[in-house]
Amino acid sequence: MEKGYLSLVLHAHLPFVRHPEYEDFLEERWFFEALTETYIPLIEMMENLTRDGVDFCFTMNLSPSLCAMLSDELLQNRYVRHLNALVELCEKEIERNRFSPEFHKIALMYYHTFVRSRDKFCNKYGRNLINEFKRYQDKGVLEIITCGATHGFMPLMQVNPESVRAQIRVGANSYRKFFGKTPPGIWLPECGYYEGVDKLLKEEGIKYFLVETHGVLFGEPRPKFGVFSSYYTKNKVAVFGRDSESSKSVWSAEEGYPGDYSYREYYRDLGFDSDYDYIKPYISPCGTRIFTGIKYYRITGTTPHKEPYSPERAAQKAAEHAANFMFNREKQVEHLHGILGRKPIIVSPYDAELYGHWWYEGVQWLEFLMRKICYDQDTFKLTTPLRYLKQYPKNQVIEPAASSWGYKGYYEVWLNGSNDWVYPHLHRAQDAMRDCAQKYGGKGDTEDRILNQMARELLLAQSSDWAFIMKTGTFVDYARKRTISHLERFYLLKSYLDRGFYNFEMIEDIEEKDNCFPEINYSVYRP
Amino acid sequence: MRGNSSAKTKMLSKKKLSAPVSSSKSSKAVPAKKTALRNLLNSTHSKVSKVINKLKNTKVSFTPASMKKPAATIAHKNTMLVQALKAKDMVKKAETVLPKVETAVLERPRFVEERYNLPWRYNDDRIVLLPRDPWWIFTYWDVSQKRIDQVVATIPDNERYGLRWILRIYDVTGVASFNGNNGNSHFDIDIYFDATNWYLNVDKPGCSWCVEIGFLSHSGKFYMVARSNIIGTPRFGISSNIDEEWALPDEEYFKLLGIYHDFGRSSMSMKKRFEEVVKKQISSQMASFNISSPTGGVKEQDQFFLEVWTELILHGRTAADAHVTVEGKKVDLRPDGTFTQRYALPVGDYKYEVTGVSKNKKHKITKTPAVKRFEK
Repeated sequence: MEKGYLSLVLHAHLPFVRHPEYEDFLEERWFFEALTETYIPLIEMMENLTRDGVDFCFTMNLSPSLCAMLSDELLQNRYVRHLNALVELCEKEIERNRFSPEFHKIALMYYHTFVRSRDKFCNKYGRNLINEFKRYQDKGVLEIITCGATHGFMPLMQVNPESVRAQIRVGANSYRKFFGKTPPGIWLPECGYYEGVDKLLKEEGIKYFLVETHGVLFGEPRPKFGVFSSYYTKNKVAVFGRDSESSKSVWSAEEGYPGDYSYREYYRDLGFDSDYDYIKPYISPCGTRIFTGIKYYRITGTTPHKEPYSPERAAQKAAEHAANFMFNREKQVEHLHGILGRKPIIVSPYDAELYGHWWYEGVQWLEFLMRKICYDQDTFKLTTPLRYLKQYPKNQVIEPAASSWGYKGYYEVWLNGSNDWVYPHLHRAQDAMRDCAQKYGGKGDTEDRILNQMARELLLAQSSDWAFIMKTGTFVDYARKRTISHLERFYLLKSYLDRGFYNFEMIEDIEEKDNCFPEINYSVYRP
Repeated sequence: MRGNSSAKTKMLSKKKLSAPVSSSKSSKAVPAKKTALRNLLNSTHSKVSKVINKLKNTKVSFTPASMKKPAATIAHKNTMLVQALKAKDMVKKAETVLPKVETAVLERPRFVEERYNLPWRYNDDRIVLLPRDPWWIFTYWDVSQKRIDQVVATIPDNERYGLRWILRIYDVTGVASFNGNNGNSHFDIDIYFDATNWYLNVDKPGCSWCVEIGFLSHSGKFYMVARSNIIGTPRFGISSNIDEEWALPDEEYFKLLGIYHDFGRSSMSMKKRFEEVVKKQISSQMASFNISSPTGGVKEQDQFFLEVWTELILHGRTAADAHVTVEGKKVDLRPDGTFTQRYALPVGDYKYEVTGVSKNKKHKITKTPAVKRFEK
């Protein structure tokens, strides 16, 4: 009989990036790369595990803005075009490396990966991965949860409760549309929690959410089981805290697995190494070198000297690391089981894009881990938050502490000198949205239509990704531009309402560009 | 105070707080100090005017709407006085305070104003408070000239001299409905009005806060211009409040958290130690990097490097309908019968057997260039 549980949670999210007004748009590649390197491999992992009859389960957040992109026809077609170009580049690479066996082998590996991805994406998955994820949810092995509609950071929105509610409700409704039921849980954007959010979750029928370690540990009163159990808030929504030990082994830059010298080096990419004229058709249309995703080297060491990548050697390492992770969890569960008097749950959440995109072997590691947990030990089992709650429906009631999983544990990543200028603008727009919903709502179809688009613009401006990018320093101009242009569109639409004059051509143009959440209803902003 | 360098900001603000201008005290203290302050103002006059000049220079570059108007109104005279006093304050504290104000103020409007059409000011007489972490809160304000005039009009003439812009920060923890007079305690901070926002070090986790912006007169009277919303700073630390039903002995509890009971250590110091561990842990980046950050470019190399690769270009010409192979593998011809192959050329000996066969298969030619690539 098992003594405890491990709950793996993957948080898959990308900001809504879709630019029909441009033929080719650099930032759309974030989505394409994640598809090839993370989302499709995760589905393939579930295919493999299911085929081999492995008993596994895990939890995944598919954020509403990601779902909007996954289901968007324009982006689906552009992804195929993107893959076509990569396959073509690989064909050239195979030829070019004919007389360098070490590299030739890797070029072939990429070629097969891209061709397989393209084939599966177009034929097997019908270009829409949402249905694939849903398939595993229906089988009961994948627990899909939702997120704030556009990943808006709620603690910095709290001056305007209608806006927080809208993030949650629009997120929940998007989930209902794609997955046909009420989301069992929610990933609060950046695990950003403040007192009162739970009440809004309750309104939506959401059963649980996750917070950073100290969100639970600093709960009031003292949480008896540390982060190794579920709790309820006073509104009877369950809360789980992140386990820091298991997080560290994957996340940490110094101690984490992904930094192993055998793993693929992220920063050495053909896009930067190759002869310029040769690579030009495959990089940014303006001629700037960018990552192509074809990377030939392993991390090797701390110096710039890099050795060619060896997939076999990396796979071997991934298996070793999976065994190490499992061993440490066994020890952890045994230790906790002795103290707690109930079976502990170790909740390990990660950014999904860490697996495959950043840590190339990450998905492989996950698959090894799930296989090993199933066959190589009896100390603990995989679970999901919902399963754990079924097993332990009675829990201590605590008020979790306000927190986030960002650097320094609170809100500073999204509120500092590089990005604090956005909040005066966002907060005014939030107020304006509430006021307009009240003033113009229900007046007529045109008014409602404009209000709905205003809601989309506001939500898109609220993405925490923009503030995050401004802080981290790459693509800053793009992030600023996105924040501002959505607010501009918002105010343009508002001016139509205020003046009773409608430029339908413009309205249509905006609707066509920012076409996420077609089911949205502005009335969520009414107080 | 506003700026990118939060470490510096923190240091400075702590300095500020180490001698807090606790208003309940300052209202008594200020009149007594008044003459002394004036003397100080005179004695540091040259320094102050330098500082004011600096401030003026700052204004040229960002010119908020209110500053474009002629500085004839009382409020503006006051603003200048506020600046003078503020400047004097700064001279007194440290010369380094000033540049920070400048850069911070300068940086902000550039991209908001020039390239896009977002309003730079809303003039809606609002001050908003946001939590940043258990120890810091953030406030921004936007006050119209009309509101300033309105408040100044209520100030008796003899009080209008030496008005300073301040933020009054109230601890309103547990206060049911705050009305400006029923806070638990408060302290004041001198501000530079045109900064439009400020990070405040309250250093008290788990409390509720409200802030007002307004004028402090030379006699210590406060004239509120706008009041903020109320927010709470996050709690920090393990609760001592233990649920009867879910009680666990301290010793067991800390074992659960991975902190073992050393002989002679009280549970209080264990709690402290654990909190230090948590603080350290949350300061290490363990989450939330974005897919966008790595795709930006090559990681900054801290070591010098030089990479050299060689490739071999093999190109030729034959009949347009011929069949050409290189080392047994078919090569595509252009419509004019030319072909080009490029091969990576690592160190070693290589031969490239090129064979052309005519369409009717009657003619076959083979040529085999060979190269030796080595490092000298």
